[in-house]
Amino acid sequence: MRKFHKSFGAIGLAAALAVSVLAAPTQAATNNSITVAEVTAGGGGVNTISTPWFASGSISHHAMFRGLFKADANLVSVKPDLASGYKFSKDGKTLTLTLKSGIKWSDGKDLTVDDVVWSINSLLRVSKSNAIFVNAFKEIVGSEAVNATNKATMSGITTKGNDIIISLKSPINVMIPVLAQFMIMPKHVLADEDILKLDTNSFWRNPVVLGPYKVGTFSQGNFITLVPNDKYEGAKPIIKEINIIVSSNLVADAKSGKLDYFTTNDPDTIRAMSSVSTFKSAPLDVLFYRYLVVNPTGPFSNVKSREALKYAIDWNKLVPAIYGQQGKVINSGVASGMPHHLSSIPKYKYDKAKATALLKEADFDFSKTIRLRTYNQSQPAVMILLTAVAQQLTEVGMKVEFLPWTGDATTELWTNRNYELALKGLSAFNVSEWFGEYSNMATFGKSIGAQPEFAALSSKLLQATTLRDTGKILTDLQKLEQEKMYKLPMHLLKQVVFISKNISGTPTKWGNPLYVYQNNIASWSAN
Amino acid sequence: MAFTISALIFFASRLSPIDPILAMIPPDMASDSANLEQLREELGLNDHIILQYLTWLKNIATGDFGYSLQSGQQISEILALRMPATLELVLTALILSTILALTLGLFAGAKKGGIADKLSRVLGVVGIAIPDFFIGLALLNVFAYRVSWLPSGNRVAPGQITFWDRFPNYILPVATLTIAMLAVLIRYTRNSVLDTLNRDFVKTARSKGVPEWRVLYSHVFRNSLGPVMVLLAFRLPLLVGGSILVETVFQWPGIGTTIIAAVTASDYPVIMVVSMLIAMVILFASFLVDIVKSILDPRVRLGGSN
Repeated sequence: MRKFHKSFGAIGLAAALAVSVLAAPTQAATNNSITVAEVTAGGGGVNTISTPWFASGSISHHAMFRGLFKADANLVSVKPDLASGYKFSKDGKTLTLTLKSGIKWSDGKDLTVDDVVWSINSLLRVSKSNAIFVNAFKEIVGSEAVNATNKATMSGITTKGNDIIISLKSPINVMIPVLAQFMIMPKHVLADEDILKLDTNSFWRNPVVLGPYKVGTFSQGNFITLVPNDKYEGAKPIIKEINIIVSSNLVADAKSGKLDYFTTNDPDTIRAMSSVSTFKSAPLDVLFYRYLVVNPTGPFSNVKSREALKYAIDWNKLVPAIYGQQGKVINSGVASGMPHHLSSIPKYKYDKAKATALLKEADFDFSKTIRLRTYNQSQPAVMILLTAVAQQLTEVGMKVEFLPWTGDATTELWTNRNYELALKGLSAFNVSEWFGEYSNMATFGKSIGAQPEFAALSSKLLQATTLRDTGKILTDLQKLEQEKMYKLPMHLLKQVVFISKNISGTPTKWGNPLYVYQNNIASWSAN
Repeated sequence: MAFTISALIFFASRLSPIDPILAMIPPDMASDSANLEQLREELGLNDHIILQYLTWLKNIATGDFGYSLQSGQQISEILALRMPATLELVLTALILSTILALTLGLFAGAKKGGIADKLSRVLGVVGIAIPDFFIGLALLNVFAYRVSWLPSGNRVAPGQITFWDRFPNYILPVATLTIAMLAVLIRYTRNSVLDTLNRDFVKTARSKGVPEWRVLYSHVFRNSLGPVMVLLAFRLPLLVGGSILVETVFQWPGIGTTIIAAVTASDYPVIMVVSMLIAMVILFASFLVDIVKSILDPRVRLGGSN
């Protein structure tokens, strides 16, 4: 028996030694490589790089793709990138962009004006795209002729030498910042592909690019390694390899040195990262809205019942309790502290008596069960927040059923609409996007029916060229939003960038990590 | 049978209220509705459901598994990429657990109350009582997060080129699956050995003076294998389906994580093909069980009336 115990101990010791010898070495950041965590498209681990036409801002996008301009961290001012400059006509309806010469794709082919024209036209043919591009490009003359079933080009885009001339139906003040977010794609590679399914094209596993990096290794399900693009005309990037991984435990991976960069808005991760001394963080005020969509066809058909919701829920307690400094309670799409915020909008302090009175005034049907829904079931903070919301609504006499959706959010929100209240998020490029949701082109706008007043004001907002005009229109939009209350703004959520202290050369001011801006990735270095 | 299963899988997937097109597109990213309609048309989703089923069946029969809605990749390509990851994980665990379980089970049965018996009973209870994902999380917590001896997941990390570079990645997921598989098998083997030991032919062999090792190996072990083999055969579908939870815990890029990703995204072509494959392997396993039984027990005959 003793002998048996000894053998067992020896085997155990040998196994432990073997494990420690074979244990994976910790990968600290060096100039040879850094590792970043990203959500990649396709699911089931690292599958493919997500298409920058519907979601940009990841490190892989910063590293590989380029637009005509590069936005600053505020996403408003731009510097030239692929374009050397731009010029608007006096009436603001003709935009002339001049493309730089001598820029090459990573496969050695020259970048041409045809790539730019093809990219702008193709954006209107894909199935999945960011609304900021669609809204801007639909303002180009002839945009209605372009759709997924044809290969037509907009008559409002012409070229002359290195100039691209864009004729607009009306002036749009966001066209240049939007173009700074719009990544140009290679026509010579993609022209014959099915553009409708561009987001699932194999191109994204090894794209032909213009940025300082290109794909070096693509190990499906495991990782992607980006390496310097030798055709890039700018300074050679310092870091030799950027590894893109998917992490299921960001904090543990950061602690173990397996990870050098990631961004998140998850409060638990942010709290836990405060104990990781090898990382620095940058909290960012971004326009990540959370709001309640109200179904105006049921018990909340009367606007007073919708107003009652504002008093019935104690946002000023709930949001800080769950999100701490990261959450900011808002009562308008233009949050307090932002330019043109309408200060006359009430602060809506928690007042159960007032909520009950408003509900009675609205002849609210208390016998009906209020279905509160969310598609953020994977986020514990959201589930806790909405559980508290449901509890507070019951305290004003409502019968509430809170459940997460199991189906897809788009169908549930805009087609099935089997809810009275639903939580929705919006990562907006600017406040125009918040109000643009009311337009009859947007899914939200479609679901509440035609809103000509919103549509007219949103359109004017896009065309406003002076701060005074912008302020006036935003004031009107806020008043209208307040009057209708189809969506109830809840809070903004800060995004936090976490980066290893070993990495230097990073921007002095970080921008919204959900968009592309001057983050100087080619100048990053690691000790 | 295969035809019935295929119909069940197809209609169960397609009669769900989830719109596969909208499931692919987040609420803020849906482009022009005309483009979405065109996509629906291109994917054949506007065809009559019976026609869709027949087309799918014909394609499956000719080896055309279709495309993933989520990634656009050919499903056959996805299977070719992900299957090896699942196979190496499950097969290793299956072999290790079988060797350990048969050895421990034999000794546990032969020396009832001995150390092997005690160990096997502990392992049996632990393995059955604790779900595999929990075992995985516990191992992760200790060996990856606390003492940092082993990586927390992934099959291949950047810079890992040779098998030995990658070897540490296998330890925790394989150990988790092995422990989970070991439990039931060890109990089955032990009970089967105990049962066989009480049979008359064992008593006869012992009374004839046959050495104990020979009694155990030639008489007991062989005759105890029947029920064990049945259990093993029914584990074969794991080779195709993977262990969803263990693969998820360790971010193992196998079929299990593919199923999870497909279900989350309502990627019904992938769900249907993987489900069909698993069903086929289950059918094959049932057939295999009958064959194995007939080999191990001469009283069982395939296809005979007596």
